[in-house]
Amino acid sequence: MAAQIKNKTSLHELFETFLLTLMGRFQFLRAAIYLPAAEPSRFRMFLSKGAVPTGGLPDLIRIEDLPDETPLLKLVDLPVLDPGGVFSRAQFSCARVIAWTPEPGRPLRRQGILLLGSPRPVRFTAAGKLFLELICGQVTQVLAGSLGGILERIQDLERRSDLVRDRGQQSAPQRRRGISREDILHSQNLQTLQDIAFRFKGGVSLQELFSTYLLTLMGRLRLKRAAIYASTMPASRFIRLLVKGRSGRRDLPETVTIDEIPGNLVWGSLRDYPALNPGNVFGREGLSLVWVLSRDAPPEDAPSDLHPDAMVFMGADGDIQLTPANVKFIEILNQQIVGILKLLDSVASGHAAPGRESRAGLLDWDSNLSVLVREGVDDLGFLQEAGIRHRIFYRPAHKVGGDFYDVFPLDGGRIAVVLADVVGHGISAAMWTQAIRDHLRHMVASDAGPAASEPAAVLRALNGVLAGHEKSEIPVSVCYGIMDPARSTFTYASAGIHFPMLFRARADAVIELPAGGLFLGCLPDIQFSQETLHIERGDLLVLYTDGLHHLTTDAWRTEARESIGRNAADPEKILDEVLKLTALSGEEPESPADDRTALLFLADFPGVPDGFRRRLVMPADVRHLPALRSFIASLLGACGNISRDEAFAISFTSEDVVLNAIQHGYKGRAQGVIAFEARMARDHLEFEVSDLGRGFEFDPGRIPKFVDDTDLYRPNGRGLYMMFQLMDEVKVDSKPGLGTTVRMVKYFKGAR
Amino acid sequence: MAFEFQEISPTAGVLRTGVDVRPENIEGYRKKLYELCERKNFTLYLDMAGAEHLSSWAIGVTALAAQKIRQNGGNLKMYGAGDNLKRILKYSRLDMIIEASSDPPPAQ
Repeated sequence: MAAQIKNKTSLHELFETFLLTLMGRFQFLRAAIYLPAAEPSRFRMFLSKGAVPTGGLPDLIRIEDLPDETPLLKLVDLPVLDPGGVFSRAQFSCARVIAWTPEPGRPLRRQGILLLGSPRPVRFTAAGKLFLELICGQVTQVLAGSLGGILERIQDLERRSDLVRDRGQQSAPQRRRGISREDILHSQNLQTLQDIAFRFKGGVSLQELFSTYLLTLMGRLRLKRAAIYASTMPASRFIRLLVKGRSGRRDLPETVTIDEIPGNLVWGSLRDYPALNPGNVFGREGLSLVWVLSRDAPPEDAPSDLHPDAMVFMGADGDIQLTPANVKFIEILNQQIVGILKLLDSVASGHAAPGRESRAGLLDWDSNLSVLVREGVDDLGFLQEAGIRHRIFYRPAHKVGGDFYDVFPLDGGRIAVVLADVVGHGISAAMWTQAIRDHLRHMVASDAGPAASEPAAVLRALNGVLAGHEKSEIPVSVCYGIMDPARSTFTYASAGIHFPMLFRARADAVIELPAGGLFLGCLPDIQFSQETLHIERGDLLVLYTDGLHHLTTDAWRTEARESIGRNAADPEKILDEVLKLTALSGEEPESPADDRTALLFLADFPGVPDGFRRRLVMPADVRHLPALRSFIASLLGACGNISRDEAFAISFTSEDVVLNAIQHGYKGRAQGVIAFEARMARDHLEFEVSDLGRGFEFDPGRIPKFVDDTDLYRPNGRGLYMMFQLMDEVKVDSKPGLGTTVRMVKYFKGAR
Repeated sequence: MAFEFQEISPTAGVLRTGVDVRPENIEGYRKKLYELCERKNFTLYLDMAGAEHLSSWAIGVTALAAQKIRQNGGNLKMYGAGDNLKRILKYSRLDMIIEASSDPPPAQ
């Protein structure tokens, strides 16, 4: 303590900080602290904060006027503590005796009293009570002399507790040793308090923890709003702990009576329980849920006086998909939230806290959250259905990290891919990542948001949200992209993320894709550029964060390329090998300095959906042939399982048929148009070339065979001949004066 | 430069296409090719390095050129043909009348 004072922090300043913290946390108008006076039966006012009228507070309080216990006391019951009524509306003002037991079996030793006044209702949630306990615990520690003294005391009690456990509860020998059940309880709760205080010292508040829970839940189930209500000490009410999501906060009830919740309810539609959602703030009826969290799911015939521990309200714009994976996710969430609430309740109420092992598990927030964050990513089975094979490499430096990824389906068979890196690690970074993930999912899904097909617009909008946020000083790099197997494209925008890589299987090349862009949140308005890449079957897309430095080396890229070339027929093997290379051949650094994440996507498109059409109308002029070639190249790109021979056949024939229309159909005419329409199916490509030119009487028997010198040296007729050679089906529909339509089909051998 | 001719002897020369032969540039190809095919007893090496595509129009022009040069006592051979070009020669049956190789043309 002397050392602290040497460091220019006086007791006065310390206690003043305590009072201000309490006033800020609960919005108290006034606060005062009394400490033991020279007379052993008195407390003297040490410090008061807030607008306390002069002379309104007693200078001395008699210890005998205080009850012999430490819970939160209502000043309305103890007028002697507030003779002048300076703490105003007494029902909201309270007092807390600060005390500790110096020796087992001896009465509480009172160290001080804390008075808190508020003109408005003060909500003491479980988290709030814990906070107050922490402050009182710290005041007690200071007053008791030192932290070391308290820890010593706790260890002593723990040792005695172990003794009790070893020899059986409340046995005669223990009673003779003077160890009571209360001693054990007190020691356990003190230890719990110490454990929780340790967590708080790590910079994580319960508010942040539960925020992260809600954000993870919202991201996973695509909720618009979510809230947690926790049961209060007199277990007839739920008090709102936290609300996340856009709008609606105002109309949510502060408290919900337990009687409104049927005893056998595990989850239900809020449509059936209007009392729980009075302002309908959780969105459209029938789509929002209430989920009762409790340690065990109640049986069907559970009594109506069931007292569950908490409820989670979920609001969505669309249906909430209660898939088995989502239900499992909620069950994990259930265990974690309920566990923590029970822990807090036990501390606040003086009931038995969970055992040391169980307590350690509940308080290992990093581990618990890492489970949720991992479970928060959708089951990625839809990737395989879309013809995309994948591997994910995710190694946070801590149990939860600042890297995160998300992959989820969009409409039209498209798939959204997110990779982000938030500066920092641990739970605070994790909360921020979940908030960003939730925002991004909402933007992509929202009708009002930027079109999901425009990643640059999505990043710009996300930046707008983040730049206005209190955590905007934390840099965030993001790559957001959309894979479209039907069109064989990957469209993406980048905000400061490492350069993604595309391994081109056919070209045996690796391309470092344009990336960069400013970090999100650093400026209020940032424009991002957007790129669209054509992806072919066998191509491997690699997105990664900067913790994986070795992916930038030529050696890594060469090995990856070699793997792709070596295992062209076995995409799973390619992914396994590249994943192994990514993980440094399985060698994990002992203390990675940074989170490391890589997403590997290998295109293995099964083809294009039946009925996919593309159409080009062009002038009948050879100068427009380059446009036709680009169109055909794009078309072939969409045919994921096409061979080189098939691609050659289609591109050669397409151009040749169009050239025939220009040369012969419109011969001698100044103007004309040609329509080129392609219809793609999984196993074939069908296309039609139509013109409104002269037309002719088509006779397949007159097509030269090119078998003897008479034919082989002919300067014409090869176009038609080759068309029948290269295509699987050809139909020519032409009449003089009515134009010509040539319909052709090419089947893909791999699909037949 | 497209369709560049190099005489390597009084009876032989190389015509380098350098680019795909498509409708947009077929006139230059045809003019040069037919001009060379008028020579008597001349062997013309068509160097197709750099060309991956011959339109059916260009195939017809080449077939007719082969006929002309042979009628004049000479020959037409193709060099530097890549996979795609060989595919075109095969499906058009031009490979029946023109010998094609992926090697570079003879220096002399």
